[in-house]
Amino acid sequence: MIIEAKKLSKWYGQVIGVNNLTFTIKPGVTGFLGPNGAGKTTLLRLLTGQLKPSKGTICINGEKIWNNHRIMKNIGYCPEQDAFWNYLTGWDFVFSTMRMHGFSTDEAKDRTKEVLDIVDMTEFESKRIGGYSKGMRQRIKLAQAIGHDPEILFLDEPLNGMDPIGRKKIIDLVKELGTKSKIVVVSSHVLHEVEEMTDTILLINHGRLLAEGNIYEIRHLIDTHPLQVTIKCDNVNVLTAKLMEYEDVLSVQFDRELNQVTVETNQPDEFHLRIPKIAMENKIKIHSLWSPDENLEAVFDYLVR
Amino acid sequence: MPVYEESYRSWEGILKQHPRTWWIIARTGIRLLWKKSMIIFLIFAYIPFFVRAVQIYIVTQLELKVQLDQAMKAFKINPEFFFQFIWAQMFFLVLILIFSGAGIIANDKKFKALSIYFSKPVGLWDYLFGKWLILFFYGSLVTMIPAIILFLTRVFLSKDSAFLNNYFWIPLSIISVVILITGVLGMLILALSAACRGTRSAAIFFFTIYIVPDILGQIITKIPEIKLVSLSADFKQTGSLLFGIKLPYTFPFWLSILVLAVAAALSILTIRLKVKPTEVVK
Amino acid sequence: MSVVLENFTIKYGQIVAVDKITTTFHHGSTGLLGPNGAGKSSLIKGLLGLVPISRGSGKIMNKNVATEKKAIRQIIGYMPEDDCLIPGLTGVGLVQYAGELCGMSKEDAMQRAHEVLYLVGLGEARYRKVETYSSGMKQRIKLAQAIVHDPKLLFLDEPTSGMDPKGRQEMLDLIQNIATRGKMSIVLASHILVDVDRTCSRIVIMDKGRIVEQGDIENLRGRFSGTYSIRVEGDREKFIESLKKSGCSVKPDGKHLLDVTLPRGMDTDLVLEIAHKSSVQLRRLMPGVQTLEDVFIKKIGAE
Repeated sequence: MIIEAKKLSKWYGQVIGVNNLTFTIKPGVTGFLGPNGAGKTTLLRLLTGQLKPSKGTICINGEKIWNNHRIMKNIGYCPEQDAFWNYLTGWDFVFSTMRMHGFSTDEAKDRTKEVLDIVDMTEFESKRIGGYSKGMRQRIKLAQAIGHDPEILFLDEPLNGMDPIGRKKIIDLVKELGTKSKIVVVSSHVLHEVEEMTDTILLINHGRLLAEGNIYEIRHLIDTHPLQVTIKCDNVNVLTAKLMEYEDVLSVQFDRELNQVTVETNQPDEFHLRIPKIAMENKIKIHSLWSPDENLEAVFDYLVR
Repeated sequence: MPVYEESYRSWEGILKQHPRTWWIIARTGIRLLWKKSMIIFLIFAYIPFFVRAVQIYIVTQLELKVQLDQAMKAFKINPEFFFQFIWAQMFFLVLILIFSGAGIIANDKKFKALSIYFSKPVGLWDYLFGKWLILFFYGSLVTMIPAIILFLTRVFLSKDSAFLNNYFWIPLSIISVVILITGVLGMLILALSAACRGTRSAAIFFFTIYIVPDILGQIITKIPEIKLVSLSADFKQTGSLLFGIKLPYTFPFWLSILVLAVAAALSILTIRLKVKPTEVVK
Repeated sequence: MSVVLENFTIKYGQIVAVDKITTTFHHGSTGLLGPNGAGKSSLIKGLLGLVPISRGSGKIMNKNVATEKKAIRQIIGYMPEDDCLIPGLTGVGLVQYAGELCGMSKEDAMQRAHEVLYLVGLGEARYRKVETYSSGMKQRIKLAQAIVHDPKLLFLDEPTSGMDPKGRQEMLDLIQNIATRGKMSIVLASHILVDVDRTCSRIVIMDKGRIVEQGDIENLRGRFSGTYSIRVEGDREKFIESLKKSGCSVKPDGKHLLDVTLPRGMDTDLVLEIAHKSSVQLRRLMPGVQTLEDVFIKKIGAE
């Protein structure tokens, strides 16, 4: 299964929503990122078949999505907005959604029961949605998105308003769905949470595609920013002196108090290969080693201006 | 030379111990409601004022007293004149109360402004009084202010002090009647604004509560006591009392006062129930 | 600067929302955590004087919460979770209004409003009506109206809600700035533990109306969990095999990371040696520590 966009554009009058996007989304979890106003909502609407492209195509397994009810049935969408029928109970809402997907009354009942259990809302299923807290509403939204067991799932800020325990549960659920060869696209502003779910991202800004793929690969391709590596160890001064001998090390930031040194290197592969050797040869005990700018936040920061 | 960073700076000022928050709320609310359409509305609302002013001028300047008494009895400048003027302005008063009042609390609830108010040293009564003052301001603008100006016009155009000696108490009546009417109707529209889901429903309910009993009273003429339910009639009854003129209805005036008091009390109760500072923190 | 609670209890009829809490919030930044319904908002309501206290007492800077409500609200700032606006007012107008309601003179409020709006990053937008603001701007104005009167204690409820990654960074930086520069104490209520970790030095975890854990974040978190998080590039399989042969237990964490527990008595030198021998790039070597999430789940999730 695969989602493919080819030169996809959408505009409203003169205002451009998305501009000439070409990308593919494969099974697994993909993080969908971008600043506010980047065109994420437009793209999500195009992906869920609610909008027709102005130009280009967006297809699932080769079939266009717009108005394609057969495909749309296989899509689950958990929107960010909170627009509900407040007088319905949680049960009623999810149940009617299941019925609308075409399930028989009995099957709808089973699915509703199951999915409400998955999102931990069984206790509150007979209470009206109007009385729900933000986190509870979020869970109900999620329930209606996954209840019909879709192959493709779009989650827009799914962790909004949820407490840490709920968050962990949903993150685990998303990771699980990803391993079941479903396509799960998660859009969120809390990059740390996206990192916990996946390392494949799709980043857009101003309606245009900025990056697509694995975080580490992307970082590697951002050659305007040499990679930073921080090492905490004993004998920091000795290590620093040794590291500086190599030409790929462009700058060094030495912190005697914290016992750490941060270098910038434009040849990360060579650098990382030689670290163990240097440490062993000079009898330096390394406590920790990491790249402060090889994470989603840094990538986002470098790419989005 | 000190170097200042672009970071947070403390404030060394003094806070007033008991700020008059009701006044701040009133002042800001009055300013927010003032729109261009308001000026056009006021021009229309002041047309009767100008007519009446001309009438006063004619009456005071003309020496033809005999003809005056007979032919133009209606033109006499007496307490009834002032009460009739205010009564005629009721139309504009109701309109302006609906316009300024229907959304006055409804909007705060819709946009969750209550969080701002009640996380500051603002009590529920500060909030209500401030809101009411806004309504009182706009209500006075079309009733009390023109009425008092008419009174002063009459006084200044007098040839002697007879009018003033006899009728010096009229401004008090004007003020008390306007406070009474804007008090009760003000509380009512505040209650509806707090209880209804939006500005439109509040406006519709207000209109209904004001008009329907009045129509009922006019239809069911057999039982004159029905008129008690009409706030309009109660105002007329009580207002006539305050102006010392003949009461228009047969039922005792204190019943009218009672009805008005109950209406105000119910409104205040509703407001207390519907404006919950505790909802400020979720 | 300090909040002293003694047997602080808040009841709604029979329901006990805050249950006999006795504690002191000292000067500094404190994260307030807990599952939904733990009593966090009731606690804040009680301190703001919005609900009556059923039992016990609370003092903020020696002012009694039960009897000096308005005085307390003059020295407290509250940034609510939900958007709050007064349509028709400009950004400056709103913040000035807030300042005046706290007791500032009109001129003081105006001057201070501009200062605070500059701090939160609302430039030209401050002259526009607030109903035209984007969600990021609405968050900033909420913060501005909360600090215009330079409160001693600032409550923040989900301050980064709805903001994009850059906005979140800026907001968190702002909060840190205010906490360190101003003489303000901060209580941050948020579900996003990363935010709390970044801006607070202490946390208080509530559950079912009681405090179940409190203390310095460093102390609560910093205990070494015993495993290292490792990432290598190159012949990964060979590396993993060698580790296992040396007695390590290796568990994959996603597609790229490895959770490695070393055998007793061994330290990171072993990892470096094996990395060198397997000719892999050592990209990451981090001692696993208990995260705030772990602390939270341990205390609450046990239910």
